[in-house]
Amino acid sequence: MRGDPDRSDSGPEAERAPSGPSRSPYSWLRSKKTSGSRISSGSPLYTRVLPILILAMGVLTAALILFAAGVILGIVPFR
Amino acid sequence: MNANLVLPFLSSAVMLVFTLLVFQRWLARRKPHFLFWAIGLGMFGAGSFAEAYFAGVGWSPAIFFVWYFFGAVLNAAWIGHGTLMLLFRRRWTAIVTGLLILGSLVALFLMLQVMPRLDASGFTASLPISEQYREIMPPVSDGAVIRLTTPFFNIYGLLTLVGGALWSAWLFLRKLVLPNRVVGNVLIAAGALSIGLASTLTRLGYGGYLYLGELVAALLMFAGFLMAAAPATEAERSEATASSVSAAA
Repeated sequence: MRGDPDRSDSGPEAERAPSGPSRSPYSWLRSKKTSGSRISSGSPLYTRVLPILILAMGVLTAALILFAAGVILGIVPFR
Repeated sequence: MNANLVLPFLSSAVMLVFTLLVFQRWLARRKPHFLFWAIGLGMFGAGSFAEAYFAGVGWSPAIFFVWYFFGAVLNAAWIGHGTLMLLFRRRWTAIVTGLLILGSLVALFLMLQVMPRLDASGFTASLPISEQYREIMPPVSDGAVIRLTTPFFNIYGLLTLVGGALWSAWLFLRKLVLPNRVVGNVLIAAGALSIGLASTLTRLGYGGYLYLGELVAALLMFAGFLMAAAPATEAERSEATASSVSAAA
């Protein structure tokens, strides 16, 4: 539920965060090939798995929307 | 162990914490998308609580109202509208907000109209309400027009919630920044899709998967929100902002 990274919606805890070196609680997500908030272009998770997953979920979303539209149009029998 | 009681009870407990967290964000920041998310998530939790109530306590028309109106009709659209408010801060979103509120009021009128005509004589607490509601509510042809409104609200909710999360994940991925937000948004989209799939199965007559789909959705969306909203370190934020600005330039 997040959009632009420039928008700071990370909660009050972000404002209280120390300015010195600290680790994000989700730093484990970053493989050795990623550095800080950057994603390495060589990381298979971010360059292959997730794009395919995003595409697949997009297709599934479109299918569900078409199904619901079919219900509205009377193509899919209403139960 | 009664799955019809435990699964929705767990879902409602997760959604209660989730809702309070998002509502707290709205109190602190007063940004409208947090309010719409909190309202929508609260509706989701109320719907799940209603399912647990049916399994644990029994039939109640008021609880059926909560389950159908908040759980089946409105919640996805209100959560998705929060995402729309986050992604597009333009004047036309105010018009969409007006349409959503107006549509919700029309749905409320239709729901109240059908309430006196419910027939719960065949209700049994051992079955999920999602497998019985067709027998409890009259058919559309007999006045239950509210049932026709669910696809409209749910198409809007699915498009904005899943579409918005996937779009955000794709933007971060394309810029190769903020991996926690990429994964967080993918989890949110997966959670929303799981409830979308379960609802579609319910529509096809397989209502037994709805409670499991709700729990999976609650857990995935909550985990995704926590992950996407995790505070970045100062260095990470500056780096991400710099790369985001240069990518946009």
